[in-house]
Amino acid sequence: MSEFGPVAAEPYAWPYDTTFTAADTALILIDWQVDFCGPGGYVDAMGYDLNLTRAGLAPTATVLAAAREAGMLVVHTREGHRPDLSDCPPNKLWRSQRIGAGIGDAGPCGRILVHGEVGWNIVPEVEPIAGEVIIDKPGKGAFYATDLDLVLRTHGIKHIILTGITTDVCVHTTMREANDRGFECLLLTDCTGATDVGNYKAALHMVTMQGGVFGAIAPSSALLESLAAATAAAAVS
Amino acid sequence: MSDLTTPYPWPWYGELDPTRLALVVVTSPQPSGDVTTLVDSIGAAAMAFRAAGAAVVEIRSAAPLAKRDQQHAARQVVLSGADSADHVIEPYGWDGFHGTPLDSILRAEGRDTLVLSGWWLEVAVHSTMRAGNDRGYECLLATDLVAGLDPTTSAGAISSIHMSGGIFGATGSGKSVVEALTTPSEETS
Repeated sequence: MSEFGPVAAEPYAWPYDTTFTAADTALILIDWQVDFCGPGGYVDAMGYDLNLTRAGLAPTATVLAAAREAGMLVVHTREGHRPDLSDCPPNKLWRSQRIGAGIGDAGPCGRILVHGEVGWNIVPEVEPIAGEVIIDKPGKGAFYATDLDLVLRTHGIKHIILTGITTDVCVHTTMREANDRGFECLLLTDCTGATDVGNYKAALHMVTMQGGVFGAIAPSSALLESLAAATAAAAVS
Repeated sequence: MSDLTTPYPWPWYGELDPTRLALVVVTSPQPSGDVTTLVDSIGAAAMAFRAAGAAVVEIRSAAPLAKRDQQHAARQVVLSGADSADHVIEPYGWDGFHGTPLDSILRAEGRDTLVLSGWWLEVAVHSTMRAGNDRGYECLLATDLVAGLDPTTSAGAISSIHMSGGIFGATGSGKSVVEALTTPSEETS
């Protein structure tokens, strides 16, 4: 098994334990759903610029291909609710209705943030393939009220590489949850985006505070270089 | 309260009910600045909250157990004396909900409305607010009762709350909450 790393990251070379392998690392793709980055979805209905949430899609597709090639565990998450909204907290529902994008309301992509609707699907660029893990979550964090922690531990995962949308909301919440649970996290700066550029930048900077309070950040090129270097070394030996 | 909170009149269900309310005081080790004044303000708010029938919960956050080192040994205890907390929670990480009885305690007491205070805003306070919001708690970040590590990231932490109509809840001043708790509600005609 090839050993990868360290990746040139901030504020420290990632991971803190120097190396990672395909067997102990998971790539997590957070909420690349039509509702968050597709026309007619939830984010579009709220009036935000889709270019901001779509910016990380192409680099993420490249990283996804590399992770599949390396044999890493690939995990996709989807935010959404049961059709009867029984897993949607009433304050979450009320807030969404108040800004004219009510969860469960009919839209161009079906009912907003509801399981099985067009808007709830992952966009084609990073669509899951057979054998990849899909986590459906009712909240922002991918660990709360899901079996993600159990799945990761069962696979022996120690390191997590994060991509997805939006940086300051679902990606940050999930990174915080993972870090609190002892996973060593890397967030890829060009594989994520937010509905506000300032919040995207602040969210990235927060990760690097206090010596890497939630882990580290790096551009995807740094990760890809690390993967390629290990592959080249394996070919030589 | 209605005009004083952003981006919506908090709490979502209408008039603030102190029996549903808890003041959450998050403390963290490694203070990078002087929090003496903040501690005094939180202590005064804690007494007003309790007098109105709300609970006070202190969360002594720390680095995740797997990442804890010597630097994290130092700890400040915020509340003592008359303003001491009703419940003290000691998580093995930044989020006060993960691996602690916080959720059970709040549910048992019927408290689903949280005012978040303490330090640091971008780290333990935000992680706890996010976790509370995902669990259905109605959260308000008290902007005058928190301290951040950095002005830019503090601004980002507050701005993020305001996105999508209040994605983690709302922000407002602790002072306005105390005023709402101590002022008889106006009769509606």
